[in-house]
Amino acid sequence: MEEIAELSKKVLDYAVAAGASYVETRFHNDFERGVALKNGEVEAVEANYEMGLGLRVLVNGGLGFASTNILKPENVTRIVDKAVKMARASSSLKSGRTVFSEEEAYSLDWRVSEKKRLEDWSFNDKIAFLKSLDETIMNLGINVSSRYIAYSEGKTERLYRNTEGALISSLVPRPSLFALITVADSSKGIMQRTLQFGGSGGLEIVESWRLNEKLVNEVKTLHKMLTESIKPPDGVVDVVVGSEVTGIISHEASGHPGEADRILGREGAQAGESYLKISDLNRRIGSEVVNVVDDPTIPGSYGFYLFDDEGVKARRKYLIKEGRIYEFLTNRETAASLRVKSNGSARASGYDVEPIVRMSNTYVLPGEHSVEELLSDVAEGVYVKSFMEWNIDDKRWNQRYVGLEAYMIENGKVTKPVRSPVIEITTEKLFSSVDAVGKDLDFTAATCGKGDPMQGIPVYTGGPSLRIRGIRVGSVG
Amino acid sequence: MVELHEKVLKMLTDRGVEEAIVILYSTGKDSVRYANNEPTISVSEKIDTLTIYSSIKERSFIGSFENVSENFLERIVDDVVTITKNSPPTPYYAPVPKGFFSYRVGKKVERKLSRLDERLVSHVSDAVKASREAGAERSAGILYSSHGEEKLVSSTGLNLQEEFAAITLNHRAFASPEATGQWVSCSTSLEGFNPYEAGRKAGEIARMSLNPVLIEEGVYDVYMEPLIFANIMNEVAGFASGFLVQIEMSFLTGKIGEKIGSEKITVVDDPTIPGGLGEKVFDDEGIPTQRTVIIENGVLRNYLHNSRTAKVAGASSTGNAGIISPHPWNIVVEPGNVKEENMMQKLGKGLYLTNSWYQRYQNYRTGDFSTIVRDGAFYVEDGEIKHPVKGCRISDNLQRILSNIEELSDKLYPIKWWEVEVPTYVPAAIIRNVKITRAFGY
Repeated sequence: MEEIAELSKKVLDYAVAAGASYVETRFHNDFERGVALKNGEVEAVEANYEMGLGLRVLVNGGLGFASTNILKPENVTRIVDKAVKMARASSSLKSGRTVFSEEEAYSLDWRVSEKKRLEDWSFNDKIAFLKSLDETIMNLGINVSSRYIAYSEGKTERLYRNTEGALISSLVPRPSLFALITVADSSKGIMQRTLQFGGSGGLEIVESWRLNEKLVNEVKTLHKMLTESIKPPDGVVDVVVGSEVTGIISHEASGHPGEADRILGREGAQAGESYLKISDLNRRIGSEVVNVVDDPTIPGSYGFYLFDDEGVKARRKYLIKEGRIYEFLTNRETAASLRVKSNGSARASGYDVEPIVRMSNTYVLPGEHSVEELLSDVAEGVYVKSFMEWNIDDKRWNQRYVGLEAYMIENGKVTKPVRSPVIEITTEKLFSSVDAVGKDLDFTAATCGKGDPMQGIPVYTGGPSLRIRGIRVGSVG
Repeated sequence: MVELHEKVLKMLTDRGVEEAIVILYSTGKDSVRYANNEPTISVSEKIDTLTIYSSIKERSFIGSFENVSENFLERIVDDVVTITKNSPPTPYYAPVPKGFFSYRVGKKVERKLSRLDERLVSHVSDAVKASREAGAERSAGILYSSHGEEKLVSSTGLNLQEEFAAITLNHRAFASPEATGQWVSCSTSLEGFNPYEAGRKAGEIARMSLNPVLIEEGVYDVYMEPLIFANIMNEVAGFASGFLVQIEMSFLTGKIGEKIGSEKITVVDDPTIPGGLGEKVFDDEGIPTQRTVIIENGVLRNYLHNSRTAKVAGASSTGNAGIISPHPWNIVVEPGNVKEENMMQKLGKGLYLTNSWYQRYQNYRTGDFSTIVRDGAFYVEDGEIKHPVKGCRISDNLQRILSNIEELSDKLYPIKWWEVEVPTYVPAAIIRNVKITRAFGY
């Protein structure tokens, strides 16, 4: 890393001499190794190593980014020249200047430790573990027509430096697992489930997933839903959603629309804009029991970081507080536009992409009710514990979640399984109809996509169970 | 001079790797992103990537490496050899192809697309200006220009090389926050690139979309513009991947020879079209690419295979590797015979939709899905647009959509944008009985 620190210093000096008023470099040394089982057999062992340098420059108020993994001096000089030249050309079309919020410049190192090192878990043991998972699933007496289970462990090592004096190094190891399970029944058809697990840390994170127990439960549930579920009610009923569904709601209907770059139009042609305007802070969007936060500092979480990819210190942000819009997610560019300090939400998926405004771990804060209490007050409704299909419009107003594990609620009791209940609802109606919040906080790992080129980043979505009064439920088909 | 990929191949075989394929990609890509009519950031990249496949006694490894400087080669090769040796044998193993393949020659590439630099900004300016002239207030988008080289060597003696270049613009115009239009211009040559037309068309759709009326849920006949039809057909062709078929992540699993669509629909993967956005001479195993019919007049004919998926299926490679997962290169939906100007009349009554995004599946195997309609959407009666609509979601099934295709227009458009990763050439389509839903609470 010393060589790289030296190189990044040279890049800063060179770009300033070329006319940049601000320069930052971000060097990544990332690697990921994994193995996938296709129907119980190893498909192949895979690895992905990425190492390179990304830099941003401000020139005459124009913003430029360049990246390369060819670290020979003549090539680095060439890409710096190009970044400066392109930023200058862009500035000629701008009516104003891009500026960054003023932030403290930190000089430090932070890293996530592995309590149990992933490297000490031998490669053959990892494969044996995956095979044992697969065998367990296949020994349940259920027709699992196909399984795909992919385990991966990555490590991202970064060195960030800017012309304001920041110099931050970091290291984050992240194990993850993806599974697609298909269950078939000769008369009832086919049902599928995708699952994702992830966290930051070592083997202790993998152990915390309790994969054996979870996969067994998922397969049994899939089979039950496939063979026993009835058509869901078609009409307006009460709904209780489990943590997994609460998580995707918090991510899609609160997190994304609260990203300041969307609000300011910067993602307009791709991920879109937002139902929120700059003037919408304090706008009521939900009932008083709804509180949504984004918190990158949760130890062991998939979206963990302590400093963002602009060197700004991470912190927990309230996105919705007591039902009102409280704070937007910002990076330094959008914070300057909003005349605030950045709240440390800039993330880049790799050295070769610019840092943009992102979520980390977004979740609904837990309340005080047990799940039984939430259910007990529902005369007729649907309990949606998990989902498969979902989407939301590009202003984050019109969303759909289709349940996978779901049951009827009758007189306060969970009764028959129901097939693929559809919740299709506006954001305000959804958050406004929440009347009680559970205390069963849990998280789901996910990969959030945004940007062009697309940047997939690790996040948690989460929350407790929620009771939602009087919303429409429909069915697929 | 021995090049990097050749050197790596030799190092691997010297250390006991029995079979290997090494590919060196060298890419240069420039882009300008813009929003609110102004550039937000310019981006340049110059990246070399090594992809290595290796196998020893049916144990196999696949990796990509961007730490490609000479200092790291020893480490890369050591890691590859160690990991390969320690892997268990896989029943999915297939030998690295060898033989006397015949490759197409004469592919032409416009290298100057890698050297446009500041001129990209003026192309952006053209698109923004055109949208304004057409009635939009503001525009956002991204313009990419790229050039790359791919060099492949294998332990079976293949030594191949090809180049790529393309320029693509994805442009969205806003006449109001609710009234938007999107269009693209994608080409492998500057001559075929028309940012002004992309801006004009997006601007016009945006202007037409002012003051939309909330959609009523129901089953509608739909006229799909090429952009939304490409979003859907890109997914359909992707599901022909032998890998996705074998893990049942595809509604096409188990349906070879079955009628899965209307007689009007024929979908091919054709990387052999000269000047095509996805033109490709050889795949990641060095096998010559070919034209493969996926769906012919509504009947599912072929999956796309690499050597591994072909082995499982008892078929032959179709030249679509990806070593692990085969994929299409250049999707073509064969045109129909309706003139574009007659499509609205053919629709009669229904919806005219221009774009969509966020397509997700309840069940990949059955093809139950939904996708959000975005940008211009219009209610049509008597072959005429009556008013724009908002809040639409297509909530249907892929096979049902294919089966209900009634007409295709006679002109193809090349589409590649955020939602369409693999270049897709499509006409416009008329699809009967599409289920449209909307959210509760509007």
